Amino acid sequence: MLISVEAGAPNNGKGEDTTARVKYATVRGRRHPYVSAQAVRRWIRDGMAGRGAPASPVTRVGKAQNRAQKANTDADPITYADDDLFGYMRAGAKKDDAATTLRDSPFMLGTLMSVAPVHPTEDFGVMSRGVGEPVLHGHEFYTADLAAPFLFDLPRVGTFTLPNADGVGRPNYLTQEQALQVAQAAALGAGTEVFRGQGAVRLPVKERRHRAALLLEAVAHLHGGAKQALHYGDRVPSLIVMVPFKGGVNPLAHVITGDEGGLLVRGDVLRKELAAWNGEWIPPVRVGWRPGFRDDLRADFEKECAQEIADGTIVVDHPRTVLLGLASEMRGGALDAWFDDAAQ
Amino acid sequence: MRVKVDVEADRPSLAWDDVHGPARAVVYGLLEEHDPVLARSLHDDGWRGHPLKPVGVTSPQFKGAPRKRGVYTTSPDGSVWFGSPVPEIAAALVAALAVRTEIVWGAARLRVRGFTVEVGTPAAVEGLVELETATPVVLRREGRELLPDDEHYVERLQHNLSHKADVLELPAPRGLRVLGAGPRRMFSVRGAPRVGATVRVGMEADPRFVDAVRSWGLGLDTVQGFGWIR
Repeated sequence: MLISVEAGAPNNGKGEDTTARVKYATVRGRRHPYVSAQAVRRWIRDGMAGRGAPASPVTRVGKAQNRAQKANTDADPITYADDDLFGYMRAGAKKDDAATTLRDSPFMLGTLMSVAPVHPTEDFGVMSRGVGEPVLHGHEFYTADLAAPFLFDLPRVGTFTLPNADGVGRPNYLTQEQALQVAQAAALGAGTEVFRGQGAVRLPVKERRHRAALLLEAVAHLHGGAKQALHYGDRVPSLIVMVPFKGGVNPLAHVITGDEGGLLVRGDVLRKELAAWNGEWIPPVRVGWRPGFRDDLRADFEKECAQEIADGTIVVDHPRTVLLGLASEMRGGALDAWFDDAAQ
Repeated sequence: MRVKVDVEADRPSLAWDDVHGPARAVVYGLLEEHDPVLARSLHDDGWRGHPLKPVGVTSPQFKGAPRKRGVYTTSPDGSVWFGSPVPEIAAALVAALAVRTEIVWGAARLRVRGFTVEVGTPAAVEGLVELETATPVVLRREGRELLPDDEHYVERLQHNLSHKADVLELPAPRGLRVLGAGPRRMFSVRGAPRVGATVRVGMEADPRFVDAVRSWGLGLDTVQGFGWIR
């Protein structure tokens, strides 16, 4: 997905004196501003909560108890869709011999990194209204196209593996907490099955569809981040490319890229990747492109992929239309096959 | 959903009346702890207007128990299976078991070593399926208990399975056949005899129904520990 930041600073790094700095990475000696994956995941989480899925409550422990600082969610993926989709790790205190509970995130997202080097501007500010001695402050902002890969492991949505009986004589009994979670899942109609070689409890497909669709809908309405009062800017992707794929490979890794001159959208790369991974993906490739965003590149892309667009292998539409359309197909059950691993 | 509870008995053998006798009370005891309303309505009225109770349980089964003629011996390696195809009932059973350290089974105390959710055989596919029971199947016709060789056995078992399919709103199985049977067994349950035998049956059934009876059992008195599928 690609987010276009127009004179903004959606994710700040550590400030210096009176100046707020944006986050950037140095690539080949040049600065590439970025937005951390954690920040975007937060925006999506907030978006899901805004759409009626209560977020798992967060408890902060540490400083006050004179212990290592930690912030934990409820770690309850049965009740909370965000714990299910984003995973968690709740490390138990060693001295209490408390268990660590963790869930790998079925939704994985890379860092939204500027596709081209950008030198942020420093805005110098003075607050002098009604005060005798003006207050000086500054902050950085930039204009850039930020791109990140993401993966949504649909078969793992609403699927919770049970402890394994690996090792001789090692019991695979449920802890009380696990047992209560299984009970909750059972009340929702969860069944048991073998998932990727391990016993698992799985919520009914209706709930799993709902959760996956909720995430896509949150991306379709993405907003959030720092400095909105000064820079506003929604964070709906200006460009998003999605393809259902077997396994964890990302055939789109080099489709949205950049050089010194800025953004590149490589239709030729997409065609070659699709050909190379023939049989591993399900058409169509869904491309969401906001009207008015780099119309020149869009014209080139549509020309390069004219054949695929004509035969429906690639579909290009507004990102919101693409995301909500996909979410609605999901909710309707048309894509239920995606919620199970494809047979090899 | 099926759960296997590993237990250790506090005595070397169970009284014959205590093999199947306490099962029903144990099940309702567990349900009541977590959801008294559900336990009461299931006990008094059955499930959703049907007198059937969609719950299954086994008598305690002990691995490596010493063989002794006429005695139901125990071992430290015992298990009791519980199950229900109905989400609410399964959830109440699991939640109640989560906090249990002991199950009082008649005169015996079974210390709970731990429990697991049983993950069944790979998801069944439409078509022929074979099921074998771990505990005897009880069937009755005109007040008389039937054994697998009896004339109306298949008919009554088919009737029982169709009724269960009705309760669960699933298609009934077809082409039921008895493929094998164990010896005749008689247990006393609160003073009344229960006669039956383990069976191996074949049928054509919807995978959802197969999954459901695996958590419920074949025949009557499943809440008393009969007809549990291995």
